[in-house]
Amino acid sequence: MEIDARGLECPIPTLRAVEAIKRARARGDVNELVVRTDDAICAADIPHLAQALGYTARRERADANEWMITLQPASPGPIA
Amino acid sequence: MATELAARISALSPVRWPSQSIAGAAVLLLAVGFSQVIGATAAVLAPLWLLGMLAGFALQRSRFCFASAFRDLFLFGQSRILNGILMGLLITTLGFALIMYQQVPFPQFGALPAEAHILPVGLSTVIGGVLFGVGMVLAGGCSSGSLYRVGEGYVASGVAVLGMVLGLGLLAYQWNWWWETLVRHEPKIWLAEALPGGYGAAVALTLAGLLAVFIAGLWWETRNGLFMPSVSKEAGDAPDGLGARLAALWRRVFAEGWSPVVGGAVLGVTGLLMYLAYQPFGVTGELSRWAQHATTSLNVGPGVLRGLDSIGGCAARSDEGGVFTATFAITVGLVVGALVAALFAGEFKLRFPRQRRRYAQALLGGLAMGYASGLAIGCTIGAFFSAIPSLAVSGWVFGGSLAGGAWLGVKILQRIP
Repeated sequence: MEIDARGLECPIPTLRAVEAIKRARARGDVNELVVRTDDAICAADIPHLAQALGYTARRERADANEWMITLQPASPGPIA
Repeated sequence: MATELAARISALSPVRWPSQSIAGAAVLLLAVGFSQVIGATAAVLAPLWLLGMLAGFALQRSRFCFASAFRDLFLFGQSRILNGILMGLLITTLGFALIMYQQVPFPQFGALPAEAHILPVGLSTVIGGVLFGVGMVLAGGCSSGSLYRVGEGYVASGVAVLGMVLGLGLLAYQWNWWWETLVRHEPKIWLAEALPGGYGAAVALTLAGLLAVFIAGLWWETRNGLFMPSVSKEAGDAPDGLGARLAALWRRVFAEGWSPVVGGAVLGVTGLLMYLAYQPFGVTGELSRWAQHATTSLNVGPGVLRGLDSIGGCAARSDEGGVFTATFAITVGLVVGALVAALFAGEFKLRFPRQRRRYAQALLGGLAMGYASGLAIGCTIGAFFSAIPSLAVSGWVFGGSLAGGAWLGVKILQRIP
């Protein structure tokens, strides 16, 4: 699933990412989530929060002002 | 879409944006040159201007954000950014105590160190803190946060600063009522004077308070189901050789973001140096000076504001004449420093919000912050980040009220679709 949060300012992109993680966890969905944001604060926050929620995060800079963050459950299968 | 993005990533790696770096160097040179111009008015303004720039640079690099420090406690159950503030307060508390000790070696005789941010504490502090907390969450940044984001090109943050100036102007018309009703009856409680142990006890209590907040933050994260993540890094190779190591160092300082703890430490040292040079760090004074100039030049000024000259903190500075003052140096220097940082990182961009209502939110949030910082004699910087290390009880009360306001702000934010 891809969340395009470009043009949205902190904290909305982080909020969308965290909500998506929580919904995916509730469904037991183990697919990767891709978040695109041009807000630097959120680009820094999302990997931290995702990891704190049991996801691995890979952040790539698409541009000086744009990041693509790939999130995946750290352990396969639904997290309790 | 994803493959196109991946192609762009590989095309741009290693990350370099030379044109903005050149602009950054030019602005930096001009700004350093300007320190000589401003220093001609009063010598102290030159170092204050440079320190203001350093503060802005550190704020931009670490995206230090008082608003998110408090907000994220309630929005995400996270205390990571709050810990950056605690690091800054640890440094300033120790340093401020040394400076104040030089000025007032015997605190028990009732004299307060002249420039320290020891503010009246009472209901006005609570009302100001709660209102400011709501405002900064709605605006998406506090006063210093909105100022440095202006330097990065965030248009909505400029609207928030405008809102703050308006809010400060509005408060001025009602100040005398607040003064007579609340503020004049509120004591300035200085821990070094109030505690029998003097400075030693006051510093120990303050540090214990910071530690307690840190542990409470950890507990709160655990309770919210967060565990400490390992540090995430952007993909890249380990540097090899002197050139590569220098390049990696350059990237870490100028291109990649700093962690909140590093930002807090640099901001703490900067605030300490500002106090050594002249006065503690504050940004509200300059904004309220703008509001005053605007209303008096239109001949609709609020008239005499009672009690302000006896209060200190950010209030004491708002009546200074001329354009180039200490508050100008720090506040405008901050925006310029943030601009330099953004340019070196290639991150400067005029950013118009995608959602129209962001403007309204920023303006309203700014208004609330301005009004509140007028009432509480300072914002997250002046009444909090510079007040706690001044060993003032007002700093803790304002901080607690900020947290309460941020909680309320989050409740409001979650109702906005």
